[in-house]
Amino acid sequence: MNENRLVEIKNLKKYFPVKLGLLKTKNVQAVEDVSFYIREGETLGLVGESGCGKTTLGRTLLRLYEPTSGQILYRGKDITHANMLPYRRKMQIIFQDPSASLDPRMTVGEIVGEAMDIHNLYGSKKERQDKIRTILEQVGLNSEHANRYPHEFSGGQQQRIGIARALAVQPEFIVCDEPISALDVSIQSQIVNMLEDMQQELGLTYLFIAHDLSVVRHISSRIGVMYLGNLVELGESYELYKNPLHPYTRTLLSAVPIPDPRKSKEKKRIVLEGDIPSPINPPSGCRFHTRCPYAMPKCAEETPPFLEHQPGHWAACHLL
Amino acid sequence: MRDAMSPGFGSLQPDMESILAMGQCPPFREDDFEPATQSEKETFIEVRKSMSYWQDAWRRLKKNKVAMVALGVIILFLLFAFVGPLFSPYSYEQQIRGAENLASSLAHPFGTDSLGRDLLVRVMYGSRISLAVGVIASLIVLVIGSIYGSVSGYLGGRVDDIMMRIVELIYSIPDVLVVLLLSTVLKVPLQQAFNSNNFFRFLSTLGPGLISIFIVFGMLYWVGMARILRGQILQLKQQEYVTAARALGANSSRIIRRHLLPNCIGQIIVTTMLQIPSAIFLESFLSFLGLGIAAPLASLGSLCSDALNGIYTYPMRLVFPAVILSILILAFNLFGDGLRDALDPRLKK
Repeated sequence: MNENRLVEIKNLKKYFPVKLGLLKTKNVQAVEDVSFYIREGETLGLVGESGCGKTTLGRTLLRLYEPTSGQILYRGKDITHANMLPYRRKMQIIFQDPSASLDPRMTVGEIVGEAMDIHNLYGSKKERQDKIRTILEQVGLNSEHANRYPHEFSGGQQQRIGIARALAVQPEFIVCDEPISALDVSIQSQIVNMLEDMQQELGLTYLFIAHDLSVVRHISSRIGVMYLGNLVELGESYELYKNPLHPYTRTLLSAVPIPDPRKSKEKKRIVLEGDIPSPINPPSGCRFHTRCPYAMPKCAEETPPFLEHQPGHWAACHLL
Repeated sequence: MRDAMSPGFGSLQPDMESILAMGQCPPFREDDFEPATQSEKETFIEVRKSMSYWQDAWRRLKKNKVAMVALGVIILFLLFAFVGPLFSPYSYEQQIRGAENLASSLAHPFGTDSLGRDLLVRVMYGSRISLAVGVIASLIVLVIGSIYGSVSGYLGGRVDDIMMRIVELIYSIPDVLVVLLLSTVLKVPLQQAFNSNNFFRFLSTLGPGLISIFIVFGMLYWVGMARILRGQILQLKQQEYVTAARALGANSSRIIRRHLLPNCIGQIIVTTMLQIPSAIFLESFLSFLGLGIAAPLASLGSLCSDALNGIYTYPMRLVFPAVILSILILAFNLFGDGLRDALDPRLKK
């Protein structure tokens, strides 16, 4: 098991300083002490509410943000402080908002070609053209599209351009940062299927960040659940859906709509009280205790450890 | 009641005649319901012409009548200043004996000055100098301001703080005072330099006044450009495509050159364009005070200044350069405004 860990993070923390006054500075604890690994060829889904630190985690993992503390390992090598340039070829990212992630002043060909320029992935101009054409066709675009500008495309096509750009460096690992949240439902499935096909063909490994539980369940082999910067539960996709351990995961799963009115009527929806607390002043102990229906006095005092309760199924809760 | 019964407006009843007419329609044929073939489908696909940023901006600019008129005026002035002198029988420094202080005539449309020089050709040369000063000074501002501003905005944090304090410091220096001091102080060392070196000798035709204007633009006037660009870059560097470029491994200089500057090219052009009239104005103002261009070269400002000597007897000598100067500055300002609207439609009120 150990040898095929592609990416691993250990006690990763990312704080953002916020100026509150002239001298007062506080930290937003966007990611607080998260550890997990991703096996080669698998898809790890990451779910959680907006603002729970999913995106920050994904970007810190790629060192687009410098981690406050903790370790990032790629194929067992510590890259927390390494020069990232050789790793930029291996690790790529697909963004949530396709139109914002494409430079409006560059043609599609330039956008896809830039990655190859940086890493010198071609010998001649013709080879560059050919490679761009191949990649565009790979993601279901036309090679004539290379001379057009991003605003001339629909959202789904723009996302394909974003994927083409990520694939241009032939990466091994891609962080998909909510790649389908900004798209129509009909386009969502196209993109998800394409991502799956790419994974099959190219042997890619994904960290798939989303808030749509049904999509994550579809694409992921394992799923991690985040709440307010903490990873609260991590397990095999099927296992996690069947047997959620953490109260927060249960709440999340109860919110998934069932497309059958009779079953849906029977289902009990757990509704949480209150709002998600501010990550500037996170609650003491277990961060979920302010909203947890099963909270005990102990929860406010002690941070629950992230333990393996069943083989391959971790959770952080005092109840277990 | 009768209204509702009658066919026509508001009636839901189908018209009897149209029902009868329906029977006379040819019956549907078998192939009426065939699915469209690939080639038939393709005839419906309309490919919109790919429009680049510049084509789009030009289309918007063409709609703006004021800007187009201003552009026309600017082009006319360019012709007037650079082609015009070729058609004149006189040169700007030629003193025609016995033709001093003439009023407008066919031979001298703008008249002549007290030394017998043709004013039309002098105004042409003056416009040429004024335009050149405006463009060169703006280019100086463009280069220094955009480099300084983009570095400051991109690096951010403490570096940005320090760089912007320097900008504020420079903002607070009275520019006209500096030009006045510089041109006085530089007079002697520049004169020495002109005599020592061939390259500097070429500059000597411009005179110390003009050179000190350029130095001042290089020293003081870039701050506006730097501030505007810093603001833009601060905004743009948060964009996801910049993050994407970083994820691809692009370094800072590549991100500034390939992603940030091209995305504020509109702002850069507009600011440079609006800098031209202010440079022309400053040069004219200084020449008017006798600090700018050195005789016998003329600029619009020095022509105005010369005209003051005989203002009561020959008022027209002031009118020609002054009007041309005003129109030139107005045209550049209006065109700059139009350009801003065309290049950055969001800024339009």
